[in-house]
Parts: sequence; C-alpha cells; structure tokens
Amino acid sequence: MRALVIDDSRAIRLILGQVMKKLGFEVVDAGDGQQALDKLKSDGPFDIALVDWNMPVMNGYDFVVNARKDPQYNDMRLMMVTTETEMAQVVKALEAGANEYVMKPFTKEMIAEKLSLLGLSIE
Amino acid sequence: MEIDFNLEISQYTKDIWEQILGLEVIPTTEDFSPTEKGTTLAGCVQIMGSWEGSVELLCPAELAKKVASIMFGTNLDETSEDDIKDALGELTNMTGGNIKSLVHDADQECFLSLPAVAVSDIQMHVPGTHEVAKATFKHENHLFAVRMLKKVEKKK
Repeated sequence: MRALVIDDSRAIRLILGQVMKKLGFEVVDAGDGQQALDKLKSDGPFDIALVDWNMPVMNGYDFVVNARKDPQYNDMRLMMVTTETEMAQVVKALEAGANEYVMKPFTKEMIAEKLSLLGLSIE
Repeated sequence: MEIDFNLEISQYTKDIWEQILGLEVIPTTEDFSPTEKGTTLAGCVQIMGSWEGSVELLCPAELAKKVASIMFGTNLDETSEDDIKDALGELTNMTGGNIKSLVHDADQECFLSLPAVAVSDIQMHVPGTHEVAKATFKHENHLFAVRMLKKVEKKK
C-alpha cells in the first residue's frame, strides 16, 4: 500500500514517513497542499494521505477540499495529522472529506490504530 | 474555573518531548534566561482570533542541536542549521497548537501562525504583549523554557 505524507516540517515528514514504512507502506512526501496535489497526479494512486493543517502555499484543509472535488481520488483515505486540536476544526475537516483525525504529538501506536479503523492495517 | 497555564504547559511539553523525541524533561523552578546562557534559539508561533498572543520555546543551541539530531536521525556533527530550525519550529508548533486549544473561545475562530525560529542571545520582545506564563524545564544539564504571551487589550 502507498501513503502520501504532507507536512511543511521536514522532521515530521521524516518521522511520520518512518512510522508508515514500519507499518508496511511505501511512502511519498510533499511539503504543502499544492505539492501534494501535484504528487497525486504525478505519483498516484495512494491508499492514504496523512495531512498537516497549517502549511504555507496551500494548507491541509484546502488540500482535502481540492482532493475530494476529484472523483478519481474518492477511494483515497485522508487522515489529518495536526496540532489543530479543537472540535470545531475536527468537524470542519471531517465535513470536507477527511476520514480520520490524529492530534500531534502522535505515536506509532496511534497511527496504527487509526489505520486499522480505516481498514488499512498491514502488520 | 481559572486555568493553571504553567501546569498545562508543563504537561503538554513533557508529552511532546517524550512522544516525539523520547526525551525526559522535568519541570523546574530554576530560571532560564537567554541572556545568561549563551546562544539560544527562540521558536515562536502567534495565536490570532478569539485569543491573541504568542507562544515561545526558548532553547539553548546545544539542546536544539540534540533535538534536531534525534528528529532527523543524524549524528550531532552532521546536523545542519536548517535541521535545527525545522525541528525547533515543529516543537514550537505542537506546543502552540496545544496551548491554543486551552485559550480559544469555542464559538469563535482562532488561528495558529506558521512557526518562526530566530537565533538570539537576548530575551525576545513581542510588542503589545505581556507574559502570562513561563515554565522552565530541565533535560540532563540543559534548561529550556516555554513562554506564553498575551496581547494587551486596549482600554475602551
């Protein structure tokens, strides 16, 4: 299975990428929402995108809205992985088409549990 | 009920440093002042909306380098300045995001800025704000601090 990790922090892309690789995923990353939309076209399809909220150029919420506009990405799961911890933000992301929500700081176990809920467990 | 910001900051900071870095940090009553501790990096995020102010993470350069080397999985001497700024920026972002969830008004929107990181040997000054909390932590022989600054409300 393939995962797209989207975060403006290189450190988080690396850490989250390593978590996903340990969980059996092939990983591609992007530094903002626009780059991620480009990667969907150039490197897709992906089974899941893990999406930060606050990023330059295009934020994670706008990425979710744009990705969900295109029916070819309907099967891709979208998981927000973010410091935006308020319920209103969670609801907003879910209404826009995100499937799951993980708050930073995360652990490998938290990510694995959410993947399992989405039917994406490999281990 | 009044929120004990120092207590909340202590808990968030311990969780973030342990879960992301695997490092134990201990709240301390010792004071950390950048003016006394040599080169310090200051990470800062702004909170805007129903609550306005900023959150700062003040970290000695040596500890910031250790943080970056853990996050990037590099040796200390291979860790670049960009790695250090990225790592400290993300820790500041996580700290600020968690603090924002404490202070915002649920009926109004509240936004977190992207993090900024600066190298400084003096205490950072954010005009028009006052310090509402400062928690100092110890990791091995290093001290570091998290400050919470609130925008001064104009008199009507």
